[in-house]
Amino acid sequence: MNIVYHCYGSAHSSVVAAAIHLGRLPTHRIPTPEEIIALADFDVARNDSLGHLFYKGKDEDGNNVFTIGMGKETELVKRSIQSLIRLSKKDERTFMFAEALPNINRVAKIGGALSRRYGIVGIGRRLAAKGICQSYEQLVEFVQETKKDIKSHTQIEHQQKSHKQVECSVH
Amino acid sequence: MKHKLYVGDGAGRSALEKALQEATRYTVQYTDQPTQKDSVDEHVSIKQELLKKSLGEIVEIGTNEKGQKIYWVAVGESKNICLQAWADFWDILDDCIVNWDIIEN
Repeated sequence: MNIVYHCYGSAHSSVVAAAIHLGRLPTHRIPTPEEIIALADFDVARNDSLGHLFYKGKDEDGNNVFTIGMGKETELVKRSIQSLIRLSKKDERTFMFAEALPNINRVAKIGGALSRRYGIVGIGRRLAAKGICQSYEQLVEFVQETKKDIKSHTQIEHQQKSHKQVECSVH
Repeated sequence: MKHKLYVGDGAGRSALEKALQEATRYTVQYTDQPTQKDSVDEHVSIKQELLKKSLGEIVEIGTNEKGQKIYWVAVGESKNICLQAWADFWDILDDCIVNWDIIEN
């Protein structure tokens, strides 16, 4: 399974969500802003990074975790990728798109814009990290829900496969 | 043979027009059989149907005289983002950008 966390620019919310997913940030406590800023990919993506698919690693179940920045027309970009997957004859169900942006607060968004859009990195980055910490519980819940969805997705696929095998052996 | 993808900004009308002109045989999903280009009326009604598709959806239009598959997509204001995303996704879908002729409009 491939999980694609997405947001506007792949600099803040999707990066933190992927880090939580991969166990690089804790789920049992709220990290400090310094721990957020210490993430190698936090608040570094540039405008020309939009659309780039970043591989972040494999989770404990062997699922691939990615992030991507889709800009302001998220649904359009996602739809185009999904139709590309269908055209390639790959199973669409092996890709899950999870939008991280709604799970962070205004402070994080303003900080992110100050840093990435206006180049005021010093204040912007710290503000973005502070906002992420304030939204952290929601982000953890979002990632845990995403992981649950993946597990039930995978279980359904296994059930369908074993039903097919039973049908084949009966015939 | 490479696939051909017409990419249109905004609602993609002019890219769609070019894709329809190039296709000599349409793949129309709302009839049972692929349709030969016959009349202006048919061209217009197909165009109207296709313009109802959601932005971002890559639509198969048909094939050209060389048998090359023609596709069309309207990308709003996100052309560069889409192009970059497709290039990266093709890599993990065992496809490649070199298998596609991308015509930007």
